[in-house]
Amino acid sequence: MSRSTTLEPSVERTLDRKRARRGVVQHEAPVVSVIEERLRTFLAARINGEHAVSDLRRMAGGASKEQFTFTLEWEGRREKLVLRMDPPASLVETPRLREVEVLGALQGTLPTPVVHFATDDPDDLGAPAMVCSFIDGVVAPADAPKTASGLGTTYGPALRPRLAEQFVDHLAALHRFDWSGHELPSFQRPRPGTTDAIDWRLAHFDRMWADDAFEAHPTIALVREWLWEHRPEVDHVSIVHGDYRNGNFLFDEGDARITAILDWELTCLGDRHHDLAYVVMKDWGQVDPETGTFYCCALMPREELFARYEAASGLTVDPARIDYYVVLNLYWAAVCTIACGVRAAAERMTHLDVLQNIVSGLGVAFIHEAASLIEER
Amino acid sequence: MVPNVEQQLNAIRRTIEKTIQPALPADEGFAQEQAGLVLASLDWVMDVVAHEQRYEQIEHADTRALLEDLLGLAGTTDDDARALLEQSAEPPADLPALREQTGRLKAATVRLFDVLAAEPATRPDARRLLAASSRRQMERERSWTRMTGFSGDVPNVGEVLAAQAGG
Repeated sequence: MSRSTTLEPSVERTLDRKRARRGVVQHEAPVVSVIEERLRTFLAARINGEHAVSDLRRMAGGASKEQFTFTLEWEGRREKLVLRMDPPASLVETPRLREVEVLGALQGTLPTPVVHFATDDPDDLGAPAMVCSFIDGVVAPADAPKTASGLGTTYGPALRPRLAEQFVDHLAALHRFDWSGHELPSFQRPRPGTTDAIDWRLAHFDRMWADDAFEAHPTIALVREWLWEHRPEVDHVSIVHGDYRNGNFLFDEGDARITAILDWELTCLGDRHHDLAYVVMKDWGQVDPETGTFYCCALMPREELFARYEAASGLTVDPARIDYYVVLNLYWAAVCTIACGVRAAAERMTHLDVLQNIVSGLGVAFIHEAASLIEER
Repeated sequence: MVPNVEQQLNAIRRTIEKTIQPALPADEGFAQEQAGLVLASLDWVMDVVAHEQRYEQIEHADTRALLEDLLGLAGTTDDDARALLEQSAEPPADLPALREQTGRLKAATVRLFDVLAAEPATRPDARRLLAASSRRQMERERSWTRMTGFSGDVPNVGEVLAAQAGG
């Protein structure tokens, strides 16, 4: 078994920068007036004509990025926008421009935020950041229990079927989207019929673990070895969202319409089963207490979901690859939460010190599940 | 020892809950969220604080046993790992030193596993040994993190450690 250490260049640069910040940069509580002033300077260099920034406020929620809302008067209109900034370190460290490029390519195909401005240069706003549209909607029904980062969000029997069909159809549209003609300079292009994409992904996770883990972990090693050994080839290269689940989309509670698919920071080019396996993971799902039926992402039973996806996308679902990518997704989340999140807190590089420690419990649950799954096979 | 660590943590928790949390402005969603997470974190610490030393002792013993088993597989030579095995026969009593030595044992174990798993002849046995040790490690880690709420209904870490020490 050969283990590649080749990373996509944009990913490698991002991880190098994070490593260079360690021991040098610590997270400081943001001063709203300072951020607002930097934002004014940033926007003044990018907007021709009259404009005004006001009402900057910090947003709650999320498990990695610092987010603010503000009002921008520009081009004859008054618009509420979101400023999304990278802390010095977080659970996931990915190139901001990848998110920006994919969101640009997908405009008109999926409901997504519109990115108005972005920068990878920390000198602009203090950190890599993007300014995007604020989209109305909620992540959970008003009467649903609030959960960390939307994990395990449930919708109830009335909303569930109406949201489920859109949820699957948007995923199908994403995976059948022809990205080949779009400018995506922050991505390497994996070749169909190879393991390029999964090689880069695993090398990325290996680097994350090597950089951030506090100590070697026999169970992580066991699962990592299995993943490298069983890498499947990709037949059709798609844009992969990377975090496609309940809690990561907004919807209008009145008409049950999905208004935005959020959180594209993990996007990559690769195998659609990466996302599909994520959707069917038992950890996000819900068992209907009355029927005993398991709803993937609390939205749709697995077989129904796959049937609808195949019909909508024209792409097949391969059960063997689903099995592989479930283990991969569990492993990835374990690496993020056991290594990167706790490291970010220990090095005082995050605005979410306590949360990063708490979500290590999720990593433990996930690596336990991954080890159990590979033992069954 | 008065007040002990558990009593101090309890007092901190009560003060935050009774006095500080209610005083936070209702529209400061981020601060409210963090205050709730601080309380949850304190509950977690209080669940495990009395068991840290015992946890590390069992982690040391299990990892050392795994390293010994891996070294016993046919064809394995790793002089550094063998030296570490000898050095660690008597675990340090001091918690930081114990933790540091366990970390070195884990690093040697994973390094050796990677070598053994790369060879078809030793791969199955290496995997079997690691999987068996992993089940015990996972049992400990899940009980250690049970208050985070992600592992379902698992016993208190004190019960798990007592059972593993007995087994």
